[in-house]
Amino acid sequence: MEERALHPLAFAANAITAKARAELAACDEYLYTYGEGIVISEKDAALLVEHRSRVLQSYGRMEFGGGSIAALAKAFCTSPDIERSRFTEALCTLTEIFYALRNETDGRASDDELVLAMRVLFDGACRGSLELLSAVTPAQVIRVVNGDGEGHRHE
Amino acid sequence: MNESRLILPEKIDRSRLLPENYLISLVYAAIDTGIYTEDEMIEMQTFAVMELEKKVHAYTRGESTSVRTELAERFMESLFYTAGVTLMLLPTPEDAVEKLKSVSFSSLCEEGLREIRRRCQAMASLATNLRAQRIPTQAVYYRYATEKLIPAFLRRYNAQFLAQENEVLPDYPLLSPVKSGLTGILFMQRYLQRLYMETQVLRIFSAAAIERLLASANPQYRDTPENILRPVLLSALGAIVAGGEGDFLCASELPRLAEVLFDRTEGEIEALLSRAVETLFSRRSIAAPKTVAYLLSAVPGIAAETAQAVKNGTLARLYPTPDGRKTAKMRFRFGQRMDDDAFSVLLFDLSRAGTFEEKNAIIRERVHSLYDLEDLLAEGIFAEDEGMALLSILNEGELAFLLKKHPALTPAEEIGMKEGEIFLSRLVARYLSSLPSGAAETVARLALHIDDAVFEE
Repeated sequence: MEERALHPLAFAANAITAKARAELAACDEYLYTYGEGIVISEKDAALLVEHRSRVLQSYGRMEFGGGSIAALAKAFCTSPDIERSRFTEALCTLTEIFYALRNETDGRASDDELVLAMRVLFDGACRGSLELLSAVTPAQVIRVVNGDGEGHRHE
Repeated sequence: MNESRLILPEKIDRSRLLPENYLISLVYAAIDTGIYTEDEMIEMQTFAVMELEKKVHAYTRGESTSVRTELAERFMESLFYTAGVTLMLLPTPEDAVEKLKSVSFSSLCEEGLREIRRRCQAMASLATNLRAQRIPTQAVYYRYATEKLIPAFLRRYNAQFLAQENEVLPDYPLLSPVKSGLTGILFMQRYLQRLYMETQVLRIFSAAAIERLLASANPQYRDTPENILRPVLLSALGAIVAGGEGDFLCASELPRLAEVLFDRTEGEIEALLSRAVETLFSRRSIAAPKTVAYLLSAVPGIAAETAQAVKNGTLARLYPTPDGRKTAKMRFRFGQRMDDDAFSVLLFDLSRAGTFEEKNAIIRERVHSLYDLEDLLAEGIFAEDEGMALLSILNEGELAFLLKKHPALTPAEEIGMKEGEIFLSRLVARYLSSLPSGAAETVARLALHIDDAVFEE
């Protein structure tokens, strides 16, 4: 017989995961419409939520609801630099970058501001490269959040 | 119109319900009895996560959906604690399950928070009464508990986010500690109620008499974190059982108390002490049923200690007397050891003594140095109970000396030691462990202050 969880968080662990997946599923229409046909399957949604949990665990954090994954999906679904067929893979990478920046900016930007700054930098200074985006510094992000530019591509 | 209430048998086993985790333990117990389903549990969990999300949102002021895992755990504990408070108030666990099924998790939390705030207000009011009624004493831990503890707790208590936590915990121990498992406001409220009841009992006696008794029981009582009602209660009950006239037991009444308790079973002692508790209140025409019930709940423990003390001959240590300190003079001096010839003769005479009383008489007449007593005990000529009886006539200073020289040994440390030294070390350890709580610590503290000069070359 499976051992029963007594701690409230462990007790509700399945509900936390289910909620995250449900919130991601709620983005389906938006992603399909604005992402020109992007579809995140149930399997991909489970993968994304699990991946997020692992990333969060490495930072000693937890998240409730679809939260950041949904925000990242909506923010980046319109990017021409991300292949539709590899969108889930890209979201995993974006999730890692997001939480690394979240940790390093230490509350100087809200989640929404962070996501927007990432999109601006991705399109601009990072030229559509997730690899370059993973190397942006917190200072660069904060400058974008504060409206100090640096999101633009350098000719 | 009279309604006849059909009394249904309770299905949920109350022993499965954990005060520290009431809601979850209730859910599991209810599922096992079939009055709550797994689907209902999953639905409740979903709503609980929604409440947690709201809490995180409020805490981060909407700026983040993620928090440190440790904080998330504490928030979730707080939610379940708060919802649990609502459910714990209901008459039966089955009523609690009905409420769980009929009311949203969010409403449970709201109700729980209202209840917690109401309890905080009730505590503030009771704490004000307690401050006004506390007895004047130099015992600092009691004074802090009755004056500053509750205001400090209420100032720092975070009912909204961390309802289950106590940032401020009491140092002053109660006569009967609040059971483990209770936390947050539930713990502190129970603690305060008991502290208030204990103060009502203390107020029965003169404050000056209490101070004398406390000083007699423990000269360091002023800054020792021990319950002050305990020695007062023991002495008062001892006086009643011994048939004394005064509020507290006198040293001269100890033999009478020992006589009354001699050869009694623990159950009989418990009955004697319970009657003494009721007499304590009835003599003064005080009607305080809850306070009496509280004291009676401590009686079984006191009865067990009393039975042990009667057996060990340590009744005087358990039942303090205001004049106790006067009789606890040093029996032995740190004087010169007797010469070897005299010691040999002493050993011979002791070996020929038939009873322990005869041995004791010889010792009282001829042994005046603590070093000689120590040597005798290490000779192995006494049985363990005789050794315990000899130690019982020593005061804390003398015991501290023996403890300093013969500390408890581990099995490894005993290897290579003489049998007599092992016997003495074990005897001292056993005797100290038979003392009431606090007394052994006093001896240990004194031992620390004994200079190594007491060790002869």
